[in-house]
Amino acid sequence: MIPGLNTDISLHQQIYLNSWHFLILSIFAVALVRAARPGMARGLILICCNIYFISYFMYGLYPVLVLGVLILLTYAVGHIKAKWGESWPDWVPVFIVVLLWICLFFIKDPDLLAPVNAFHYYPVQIIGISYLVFRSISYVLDVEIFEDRTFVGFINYMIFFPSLLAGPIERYDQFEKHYFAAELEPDVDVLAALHRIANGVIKKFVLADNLMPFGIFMKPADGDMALPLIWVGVMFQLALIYLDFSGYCDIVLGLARLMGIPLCENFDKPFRATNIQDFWNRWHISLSLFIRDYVFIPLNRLFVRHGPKSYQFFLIMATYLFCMMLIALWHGTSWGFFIFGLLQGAALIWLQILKRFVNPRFQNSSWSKFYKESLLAHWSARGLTYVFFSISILFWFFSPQKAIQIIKSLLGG
Amino acid sequence: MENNLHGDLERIFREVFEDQKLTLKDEMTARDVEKWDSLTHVALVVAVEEFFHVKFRNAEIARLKCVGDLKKLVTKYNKMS
Amino acid sequence: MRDRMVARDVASVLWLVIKIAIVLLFMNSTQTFFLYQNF
Repeated sequence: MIPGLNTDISLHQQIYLNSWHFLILSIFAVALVRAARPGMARGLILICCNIYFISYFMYGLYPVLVLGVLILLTYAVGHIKAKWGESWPDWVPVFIVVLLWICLFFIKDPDLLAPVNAFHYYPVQIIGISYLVFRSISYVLDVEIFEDRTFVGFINYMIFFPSLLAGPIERYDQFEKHYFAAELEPDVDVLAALHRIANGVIKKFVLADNLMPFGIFMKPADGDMALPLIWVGVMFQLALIYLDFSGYCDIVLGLARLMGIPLCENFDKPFRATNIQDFWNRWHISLSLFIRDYVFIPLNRLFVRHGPKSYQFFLIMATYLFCMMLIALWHGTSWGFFIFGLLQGAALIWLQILKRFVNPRFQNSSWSKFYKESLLAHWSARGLTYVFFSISILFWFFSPQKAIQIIKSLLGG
Repeated sequence: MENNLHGDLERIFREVFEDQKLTLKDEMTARDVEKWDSLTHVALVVAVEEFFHVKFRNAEIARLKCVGDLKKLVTKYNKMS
Repeated sequence: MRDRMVARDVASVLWLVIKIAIVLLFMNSTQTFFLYQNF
């Protein structure tokens, strides 16, 4: 499944972020949400805007039904868990979450395990489903600590129209605190927010969309393409994806800010990363944090507490790999994404091995000093990280064979 | 009581991060300590749990942003028990 | 002091207008790629 070339026929009606339609909706939403009385009044206005937006992506009754079931069930389970969850055995929340993950994979890939996949017989496409399911998981797992739970608030959290299409993945309490708050932040820097939106529009609709034909995804290096051009295509592609996705995030975060609802950041200068772990702390941050908080930390806690000490390093490495596989398969369920996950997991494991076994030996040596302080080492690390990730995303778009062929071309083969 | 908590936490931090010179501050976050990543975060949390005989909720661990938050959490559980 | 702040705001608005002009002039309206949009 090729990530989002926007040509899906079942989405005959949409709202594009660069349309007058979206602009007018945004202006209305900002004005009404800010003018409304805090609490339920604001909540109801927001819900109207959110339902209005998502209705343009619902192509029939069936997706509405599936989404409705997801929202209702999540809220109901959350409510029951908040009241009686203390007495549940530990495996119950795990079971619910695993079910949600399975539903997500089954919906996204109707051919996955076709005989037992209900969505193989009744396929459905729901906008932003990956993000919706993640919000459900986050809500169910954290429900006990939420003080102000309302159904209206929950619906707004799930289908908040700025973050519906591609995130970021927010936590319910962070969201609720702001839109319900008695006073919206009085001094929202309106100019700063508008600039942010403008920056996002330029990054995405001016730069990324116009320059996309120069990335390797659009120029698969068939035939005799000169080696430098192949390198340019591959290296440029990551920058294009960054412009596209971070541009979207800028638009969305700026807009939500104007409404008085700060959403969490998804990027933090990712190309300053000096290793792949640093990279994932700067790229698609809300996704990394989600996996860290709802998969990595709970699993590791389990292993550190109950796992046999001698196996601990092995178990922790397995957790790293497992998390990277989840992230990879969340993007798509083809072999290419599987390989992508393996690559990321291997890189992280390699880093941990270095940290644990190699670095302590060189702690005070001149080599360590060089590595920490020299510009050459710093820029080499950044370059290497960039190249590594650029190569691994080839597997997002191309078949494994084609991706490997491109890599061979890069090396002169 | 407050001093004890700070002292105890500092000792735990020093042990987990293998840095006897580490000085704990309330505003300290993962960014301030080189070895503090998601992995050592777990080791830290488990060490704190075992020392104070408490068990945090996963949701609370996910919302720990700085040492001050951790202190508040431990105090909350200590009051409960 | 206040004059400086007003001047700064005016400059900011001008800069914003330039950005909007760039968008209107160069935005690609025939096709859009949305690599992280999810179904």
